Amino acid sequence: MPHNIQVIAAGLGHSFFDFIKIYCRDESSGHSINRVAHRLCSLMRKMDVKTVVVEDLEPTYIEVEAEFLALRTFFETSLGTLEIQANRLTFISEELDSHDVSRIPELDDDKFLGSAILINFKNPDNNLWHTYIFNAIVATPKIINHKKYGTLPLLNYYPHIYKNFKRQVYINEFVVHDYKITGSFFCQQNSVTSVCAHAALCMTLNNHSLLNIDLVTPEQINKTIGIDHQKIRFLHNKKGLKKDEVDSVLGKYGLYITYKSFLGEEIREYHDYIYKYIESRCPVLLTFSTDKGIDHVVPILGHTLNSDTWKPEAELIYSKVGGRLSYFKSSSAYVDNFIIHDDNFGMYYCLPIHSLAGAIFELAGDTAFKAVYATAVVPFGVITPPREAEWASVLVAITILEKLQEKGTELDSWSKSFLSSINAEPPRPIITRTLLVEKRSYVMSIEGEDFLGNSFTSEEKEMLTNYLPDKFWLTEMTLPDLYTANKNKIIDFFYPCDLPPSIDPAVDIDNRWIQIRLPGSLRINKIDATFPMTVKSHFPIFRLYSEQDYLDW
Amino acid sequence: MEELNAGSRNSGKVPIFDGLRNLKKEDISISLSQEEVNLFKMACQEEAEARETQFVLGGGDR
Repeated sequence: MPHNIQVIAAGLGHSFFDFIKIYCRDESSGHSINRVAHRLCSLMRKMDVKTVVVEDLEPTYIEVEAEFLALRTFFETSLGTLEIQANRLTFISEELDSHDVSRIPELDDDKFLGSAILINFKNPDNNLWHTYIFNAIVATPKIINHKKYGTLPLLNYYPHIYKNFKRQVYINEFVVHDYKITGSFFCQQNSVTSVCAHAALCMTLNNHSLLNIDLVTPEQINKTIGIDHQKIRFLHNKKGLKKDEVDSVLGKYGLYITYKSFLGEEIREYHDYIYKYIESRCPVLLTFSTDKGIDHVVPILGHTLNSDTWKPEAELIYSKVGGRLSYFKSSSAYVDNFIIHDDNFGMYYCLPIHSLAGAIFELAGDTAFKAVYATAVVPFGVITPPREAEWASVLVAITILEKLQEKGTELDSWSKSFLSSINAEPPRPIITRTLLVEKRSYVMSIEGEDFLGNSFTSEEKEMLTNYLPDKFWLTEMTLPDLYTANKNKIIDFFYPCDLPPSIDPAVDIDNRWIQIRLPGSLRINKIDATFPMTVKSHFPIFRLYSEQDYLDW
Repeated sequence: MEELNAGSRNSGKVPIFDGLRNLKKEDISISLSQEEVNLFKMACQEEAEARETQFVLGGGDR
C-alpha cells in the first residue's frame, strides 16, 4: 500500500534540480546525472506543472512486486537485504498545498500531466545507487495555459502511437483516486534483469491502441521467454532478445513483426519504410548502431512534418531524374523528425531523420550512429510490402490516365494536372501517401466534402466500400501544393495487404489491385466495372476519426 | 445519375466517367520496363528475405 504521501510545490520558484537530488539516489550520491528524470521534469515544466504528489511504495505493492523479486533473485540476495525503494510521482497542473490533498478527486483528468514509478536500488556488485523509471504515463506534449493562446496542440506534431491510460494516486493510506491520461507509456531497462529490448517491447505493447490489456512488464516478457535470472542472466550469458523470442512475446497479443535492414544505399530511405507503418498506427522499433559496437533500439511513436520542405520538389529539378517511379515522392519526404522514447534519455524526443541516415562525408569503416534495421509491429496477416502497393498505385494511375488521354477522353482539370506534372520537362513530383487502413475507418473518412463542397452519396459510399477487405493498403495521390496547403488528395488507390511480396509484378499487379477512385469516378478491378462519383475535386486526406487534436501548418 | 448526385452541392458533368467506363480490362493492363521489373523484384525479394532473417533486438547497452 502506498504511504508517506507528500504534496510538493513544483511551480515557478521550486527547482526540479533540487527535487531530482532528493528522489534519484544515483544523482544525489554524486556518481551520475539522471538524464531521464531531468527529461521527465522538463516536459512537466513545459506543460505548466504546479504540484507533484510523491508516494512511497511498499515492496509488495502490486505494480513493483515482481520487479523487486527479479532484482533480488539476480543479485542472489535474500529478501530484504538488497537496498531498494520505489516512489510514485504524480504531476498535476493545479496548485495544491499539503492541506489540499483532499481536492485531488475534484480535479479534471486533464490536470494530470504524468505519473511515474521511480525505483532506486544499491547494486551490491559495485555499491552504487542505480535509479530508473520503472514505468511512466506522460500526457501528449501540448501547450497548456498559454497567456495569449490558451491550451493547444504542438504545431505539425503527430504522435500516432498513444492511448488513454488508467492511473491511480492515493490521497491517504485508505483512499485512492482513479483518473485517466491520454498519452504514452514509457519505461527504462534496469540493465540487470531487463535490457533496452524489454523497454522497447513494453513501450510498443503498452502503447498499442488495438490492445486492451494490463500494462506488460519486463518480468512478464522474461517469463514468456524463460529468463530466470539464475541460469540465464543478462550481461552474463544473455544479450538482447532473439527474433524468435520477440515473436513469442508479440504472438501472445496477436501481433507479429515485419523487418527490414538498411544496408548500403538502403539507409537513404530508411525513414520511408518506418513512416508508412507509423502512419498506419503500427509501432516501429528502430535499431541503430553505437560506437560501443553494440546496437540500441528505440520505439517510434509518431512524427513531425514540415510542409514547407523544399527537397521533394527541388530534387527533381536539381538532380538526376530516374524513371517514372522517381516522379512520385512519398509523403515521408515531408517528415523531419520521428517522435521516439529512448530509455537512456527519456520520452517524446524528436529524432531528426537525417541524424541516422549516415553522414555525407564519413570516414571509411565508421559504422556508428546509423539506422541498422527496423521492425514494424503489425496485425497478423499483414504481409504485403507497402512499397509494392505504392508502386502499383503509381503504375495503374499513369496507365489509366494515359489511356484515357490516348482515346480522346476529356480529362478533368485535376487528372490533367496529374499528367502534366509527370510529362513536364523536367517532371514535377506527384505525392503519394500509403498507409494501412481498416475498412470501418475508411468509411468514417469519406464523410467530408471535396474542395467544391461535393460529398459522396450513400449509394456511392456503399459502392466505395463494397469490395474492400477489412484491412488494405490505401495510397493517396495528390499534387505537392494540395498536400501541403489543403491536406487534400486527388486519387485513392486500394491494394491488398494479405498477399506475399510479388515475384512477378507484371502479372501480379493487374490481378491484385482492388480499385481506384479518380475525380468523378470509381473503377473496381475485381468486377471490371466503373461507377460515377459525385466527388470531383480534391478531397481531405485520410485521418483516423479517433485521432487526438492536431494543429497543421 | 440524378439520384447519385443527390448528395452533391455541386452536381454536374462527371468528366472522365464515360471514358473510364469504356476502357476494357486489357486497355489498363500495366506495362513495365525491364528496369522497373528489376527494381520491383529486388525490393519485394528483399522484403521476403528480411522476414526470414534472424536478429537480436537490442544487443544490450549501457
